[in-house]
Amino acid sequence: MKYISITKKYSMKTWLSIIFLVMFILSTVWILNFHNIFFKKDFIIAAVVMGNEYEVISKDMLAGIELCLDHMNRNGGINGRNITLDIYNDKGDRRTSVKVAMEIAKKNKALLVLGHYFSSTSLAAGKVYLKERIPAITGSATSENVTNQNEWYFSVLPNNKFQGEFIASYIYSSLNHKSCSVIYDTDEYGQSLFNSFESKANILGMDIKNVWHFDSKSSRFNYQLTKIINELRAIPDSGIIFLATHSREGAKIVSLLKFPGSKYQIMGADAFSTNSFINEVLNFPQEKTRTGYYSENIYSVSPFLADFTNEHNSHFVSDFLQKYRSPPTWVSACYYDATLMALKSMQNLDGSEKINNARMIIQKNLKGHYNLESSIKGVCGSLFFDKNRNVNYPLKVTYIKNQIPIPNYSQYFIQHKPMNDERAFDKILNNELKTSGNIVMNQTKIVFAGIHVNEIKNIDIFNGQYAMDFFIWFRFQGEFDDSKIVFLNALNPVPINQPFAEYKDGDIVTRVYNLKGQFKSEFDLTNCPFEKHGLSIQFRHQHLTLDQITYISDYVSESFVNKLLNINKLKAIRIPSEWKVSQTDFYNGIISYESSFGIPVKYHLKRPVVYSTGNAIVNIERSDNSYAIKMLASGLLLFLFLLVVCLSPLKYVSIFVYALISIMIVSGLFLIKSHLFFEYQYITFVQYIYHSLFAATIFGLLSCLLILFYFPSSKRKNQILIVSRISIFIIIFSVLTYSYFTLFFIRNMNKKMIHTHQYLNETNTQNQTNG
Amino acid sequence: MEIKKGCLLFLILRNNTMIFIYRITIVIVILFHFSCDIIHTTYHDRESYFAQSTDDLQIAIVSSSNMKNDFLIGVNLAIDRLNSYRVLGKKLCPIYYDDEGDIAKGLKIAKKLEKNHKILAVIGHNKSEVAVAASITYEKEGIIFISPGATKPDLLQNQYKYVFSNTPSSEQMVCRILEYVRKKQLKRIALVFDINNEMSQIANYFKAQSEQYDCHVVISKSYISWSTHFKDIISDIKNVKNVDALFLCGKLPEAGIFIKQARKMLFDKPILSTNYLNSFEFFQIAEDSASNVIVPTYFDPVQSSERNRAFVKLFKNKNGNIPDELAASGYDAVNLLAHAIEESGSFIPGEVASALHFIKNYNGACGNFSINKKGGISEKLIFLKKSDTDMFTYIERELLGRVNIFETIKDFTLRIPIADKIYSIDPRLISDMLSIEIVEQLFLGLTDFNPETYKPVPELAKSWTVNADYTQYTFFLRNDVVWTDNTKVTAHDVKWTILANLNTETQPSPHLSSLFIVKNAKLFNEGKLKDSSHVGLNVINDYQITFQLEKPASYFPSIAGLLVFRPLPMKLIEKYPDTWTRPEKIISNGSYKLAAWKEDLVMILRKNDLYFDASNVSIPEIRYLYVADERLGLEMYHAGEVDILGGNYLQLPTDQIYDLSMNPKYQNQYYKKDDHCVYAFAFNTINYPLDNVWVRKAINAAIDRNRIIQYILDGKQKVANNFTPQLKSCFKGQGAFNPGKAKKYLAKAGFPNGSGFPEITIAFNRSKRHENIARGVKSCLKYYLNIHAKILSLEWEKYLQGITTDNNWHLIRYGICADYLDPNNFLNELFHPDIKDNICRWSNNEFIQLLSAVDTTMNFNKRMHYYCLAEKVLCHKVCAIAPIYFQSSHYLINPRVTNWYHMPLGGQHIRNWSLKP
Repeated sequence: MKYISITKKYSMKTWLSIIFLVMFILSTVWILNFHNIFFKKDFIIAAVVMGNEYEVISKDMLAGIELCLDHMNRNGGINGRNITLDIYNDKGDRRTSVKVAMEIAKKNKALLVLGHYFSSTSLAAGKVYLKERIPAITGSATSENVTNQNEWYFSVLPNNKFQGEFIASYIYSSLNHKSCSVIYDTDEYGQSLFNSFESKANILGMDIKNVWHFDSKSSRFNYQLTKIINELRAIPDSGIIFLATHSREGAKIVSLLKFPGSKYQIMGADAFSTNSFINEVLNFPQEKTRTGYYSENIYSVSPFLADFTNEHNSHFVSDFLQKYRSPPTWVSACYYDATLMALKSMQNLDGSEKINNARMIIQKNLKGHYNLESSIKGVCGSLFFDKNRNVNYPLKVTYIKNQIPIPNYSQYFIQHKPMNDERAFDKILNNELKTSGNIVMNQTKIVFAGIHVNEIKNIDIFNGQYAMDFFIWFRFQGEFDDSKIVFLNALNPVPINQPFAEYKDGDIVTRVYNLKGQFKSEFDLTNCPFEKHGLSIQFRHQHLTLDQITYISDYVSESFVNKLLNINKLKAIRIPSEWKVSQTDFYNGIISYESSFGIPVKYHLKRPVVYSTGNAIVNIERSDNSYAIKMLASGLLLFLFLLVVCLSPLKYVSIFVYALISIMIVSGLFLIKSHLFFEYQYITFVQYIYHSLFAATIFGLLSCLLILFYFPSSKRKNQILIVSRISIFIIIFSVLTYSYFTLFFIRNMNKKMIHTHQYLNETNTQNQTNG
Repeated sequence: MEIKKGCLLFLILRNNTMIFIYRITIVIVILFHFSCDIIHTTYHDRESYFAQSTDDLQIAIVSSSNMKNDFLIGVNLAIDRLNSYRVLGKKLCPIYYDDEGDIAKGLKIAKKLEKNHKILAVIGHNKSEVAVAASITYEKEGIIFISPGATKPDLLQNQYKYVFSNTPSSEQMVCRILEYVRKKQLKRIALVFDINNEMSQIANYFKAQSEQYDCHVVISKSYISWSTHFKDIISDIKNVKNVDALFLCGKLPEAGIFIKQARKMLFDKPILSTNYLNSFEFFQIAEDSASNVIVPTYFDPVQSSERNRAFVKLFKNKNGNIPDELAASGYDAVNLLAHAIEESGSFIPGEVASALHFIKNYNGACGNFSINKKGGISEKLIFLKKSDTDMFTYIERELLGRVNIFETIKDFTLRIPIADKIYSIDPRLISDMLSIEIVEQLFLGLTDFNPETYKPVPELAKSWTVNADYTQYTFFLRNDVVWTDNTKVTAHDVKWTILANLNTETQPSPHLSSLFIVKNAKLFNEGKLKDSSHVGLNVINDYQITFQLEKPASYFPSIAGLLVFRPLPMKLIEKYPDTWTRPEKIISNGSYKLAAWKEDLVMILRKNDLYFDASNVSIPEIRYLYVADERLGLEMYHAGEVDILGGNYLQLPTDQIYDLSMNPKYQNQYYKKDDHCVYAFAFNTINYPLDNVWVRKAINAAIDRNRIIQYILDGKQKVANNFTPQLKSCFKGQGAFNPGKAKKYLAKAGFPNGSGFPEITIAFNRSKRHENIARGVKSCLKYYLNIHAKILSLEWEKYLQGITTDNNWHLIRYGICADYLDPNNFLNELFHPDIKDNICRWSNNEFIQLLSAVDTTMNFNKRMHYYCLAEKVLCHKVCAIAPIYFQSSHYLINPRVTNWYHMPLGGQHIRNWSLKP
């Protein structure tokens, strides 16, 4: 027996051992086989920013990068893998940038590098990336040399060569200057800007009257500048002055050259559209005490302006505002684009590739974006690389007003397959089409627009209709056929005839109309009787598409118009007494249609036709609670009645039943009679109240009948009756709680998203006021 | 129990003897009936069954499991395909048998089948002996029998009605081997054969036929089927001197062992054999010795036949491998049967068999063939395979078969789309680059160009000598160059051609002026010299010719390779002066010969086996496909239907070049190559107002070449500030475009701001690209000079005519590529004011003097200096021409084309390219 027992014991042990061994083997196999699923490593990309004095720029860079990464990671990453950012600091210094690049190469984890900010640091680090075959994308370095000899370096903003040519074209064709003078820095940035500017000016036949240059690193820098300014002032007509300089030197030249009333027109490169330039100018007391003393009306170019909304960047702007509570700078936008390009080029990776192979795939994919068709629609423009891995898209031209870069009246849009037009070459020669680098552009007119609503009446909340009396104004340069404006949500065409007022400042025209019309909006009655409504006016041009005309919210001349029209913005808009205006807003947007361009055979080849729109929204809400009381009073009475009935002694069963029946009928009748119930796809708050009463009474009646039928003499009958009566109230509260969450809570969340445009405008207005 | 008893009593007589006898008789009759097979199906039963039955068709498939092949797969593929749409409304229902390659088993199956009157046909018995044995039964019983594998002539010798074989007989295959022997000039053949009946027959046939194929059997040896030691036979053969090849007539494994031993005994001559060796088993037996063995086969998976391709594709999709020959012939056998049923419109075996006998030019998976009266096949191509150590590869497959212009064998054919029709391939008459490309493949020049240095290298001439002052060249011709009619190409041909080209009575060659370097050639051409013997050509002997030149020309070897110097078949041209280039008549001597030419569709060249370096020509066939539309051409390239786009062939669409050059997908397919070509507009210097030099200068300075190139040509060419590409360096930093100067020049000419300037005409030969460029020039003239111009599009012939004779244009497109790399080619031959085709109609003494100075100068630097000065006179001083850009060729090359390189002087060396399988 002993032997047997020992055997049994051993047997048990053996069995356990076998089981554990099998489990161990299985788990090992499982881990080995499925580690990819459960232990997926993140994709790593490196971002090289700058600390110390460039911290502001670094924040901008990171803001753009992180926004894009967050979006990608939130949506499941790339093939189920998240993307992690490895941040490095090159301090804006060449030597450090090389060290950083070597560190990235040594770690050998990052699939690609985003950065560096400066051309100098990018050039230095680029040699390492070329040697180590690491793809790098800069969203800020504009020297052509960064990418020219380095097939692993890509740039997502137009380089200096493009910029110089672009500025020359713009000065000649849009600012209509046939002569100019140039002051340039002899460093790489200034030199390359000048070279390309000069060659384009020669092609266009623009006369470069004077050229001065300086060396900002020279000890004689100040002397050089003074000499240049003296010579410049001695010339009677210098033409427009192009400053191919960095922001610090540019600010200094401007401060030496400009004074209120001076006639010098100045255009700078992208350095002038950074906050850095304004900060440099603000160092001068004159600019501090008098806004725009130096900076007013200086033209510059920028890869990005938040004012330009299109189908590709509107989400970026709204997301950025929501996340960082400030509008994006062009640095953020360009680095968002750089990250977007990086992520798109990583789409094919599944993480199993060796890092060198993965980098090669990324590089090849990046090269795969080589024309408009294969481009990535970035927030700054269509991103595709030329043979030197630079992107070319039209820059935005701004002028400074109250220390803020404002879009100029004409901007350029890239033309798709321009040579399909037989006259294209003629147009190029005649400057009807602009060229810069390899791209051909046409000119779009910028019209600043605003709406001030005077009166709202005849608000029909059930049909979403209302009548409005409003001022609409357009500020534009040259000619603009404002009679072709169509109001998209007007019930009947709103004729635009005689302007109410017109003001001219040179060739800048501000034209104001006083219009009246009946409009329609989709009213949201889900919160009825506590709802708020946005009464909108939306317009676009009848024929001119986004590439021909773009509306921009005119917060610059709003105060001017208000003053001229004697509009008191703070004064309430005339509106029926039961409503009050909670907020007004104007923003620009886009509207897109599918069209076969009137060619029936091309019906299946419809393409989107995009128009720029102007949108005014007046948010109204009920001025007091009388309407709500009116709407809810009967429900409240029924509720009180139900409460009383439920508290009645249990022996009055018949009274209880009759009372429930009457409440059920009344609430049922309300629901049936409710027009809202039939007209909308959703249930309003007031309906929820009657729904809850109706459902509760039905439940009460059914439970009462069941109890009486099944437990006619049970001792527990009374207890069950009490429970059922309590359940009636639980049902009511459940339905109402549900309605609260669906109607108020979630909708309020969404509303935040909707109002980002308003926030943008508010911020802009605020900036203006601060200025 | 009662009933059982009664049953027993039925057989046991009790009382009634008569009843007993009666019953016994019934039993005997019954037994007799069954023992004598009285219900045996007769021929007539089968016929009447198929005449009335509505049942599906039953066919027997007899495979041989001892032979490893894909026969059944092929058969089933055909049955599946046919059943998808049915044969005259009936399905084919196969019944499968296996004869294991054994005669007894085969006969047993045949016996079984003859009893089944529902069997219409038998397909199989692929072993000859089995097929022969079984065929008697099938013939007797009226069952159609098709053997897809039996090659023994005995099967068909009786001319049975119902017996067929859809494979060539062993005799037909022997003939193919003999053709190969003749072609390779294998004169002395050793014959070794298995003594068995079939092999002896083949050997005898080989021996009997050998005389007809220019060879003879020098030794004949036999062995017994089960032999394993062949050393004696091999040593006997080795002892015979000058044996060129061995024909081995045997089966496996003996033949394999024989080859193994022969190779081990260092017998290295080619071994020819029968298709019995066409098997993997051969390699298992012969192992490393299985090399240089040539066997015939009746199936090639790569043929131009539509059915062949469809079958191979279907088979490959289903099984993943290439079908073998039995799969193909099995597939064909079933289809052949179905075809005969459909042709006869009947299911009756007799009628179907009759229809089978009348099938002609049947297009099957194995290729085209007809059924002969014996029931075998004829007009069937037989292919050859050559063994390497581990596999057979097809040889000479490309040169077989008739040319079918509608069917291309991708694997053998280089497919080149061309933009325009080929008007002529007469080297004397052509001037367009495309025709030059084709002539390069057809006719040899005395010299050619080295693809790397562009220096002249020998071609028809194997060498040359020159005298001290570069005025007399002697060329020594190769003696192994023959025309395609196998006659020798001699120095007399060269002389005859040159004199014929100088003949005033014939249509003058566009390149005639190149001949004027030969002494007295010009005088002879102008009729001032009647005696051709005074022309500087002296034929020393058949392979030696001397050229006496008018002036020293160190570049003459380059000129000697030009079209007008290339020898042409004089007898043919004399006989058919106008039609000698037609495919049915033409005789050529180049690496390719003309095989077919349908002007609006295709031109097909095939490798010239008689070309002196034919062994190094890799691509068997070239097809020039007339596509015309560049976009369509690009689509075809994307679809893999053409191999090369660009260059002098169909060009890449201009607006696509940038994308193609940038798209990483094409990074190993897109090539940009510099040419020695220039694109320009020639001025008509005698037409008002362009007769004024200031007007010409103004126009020249107003053409914005940079922007034309950037926006019209997508930035893919180089700005030309002068005309001659070799003289670019003389104009460094001198931009021709200068709008400011252009306005001044025009004012000097008396047309300030274009006022009073008449409308001028810009002409070009019809092409979208030329039109766009002409429009660009027109726009420039309007924008910078306020000059109105109209554009004039001309057909090629009119353009050629108008360029030298008409005066209805002021500017005309003038694109020229260098024939050789000396400025003489451009400046002297194109612009010398004394030439007949003086496009600019200009004359300038300074220019003439400078060119004369060149002729008298031997110093290279001095010559170049004079050329530079002459070029400046042409482009600046007199401004007779407005250069636009120096051309680069853009190519898309299918990666399957290997060893490709670009010849910037035109005349691509396709002979050196190859195709990846």
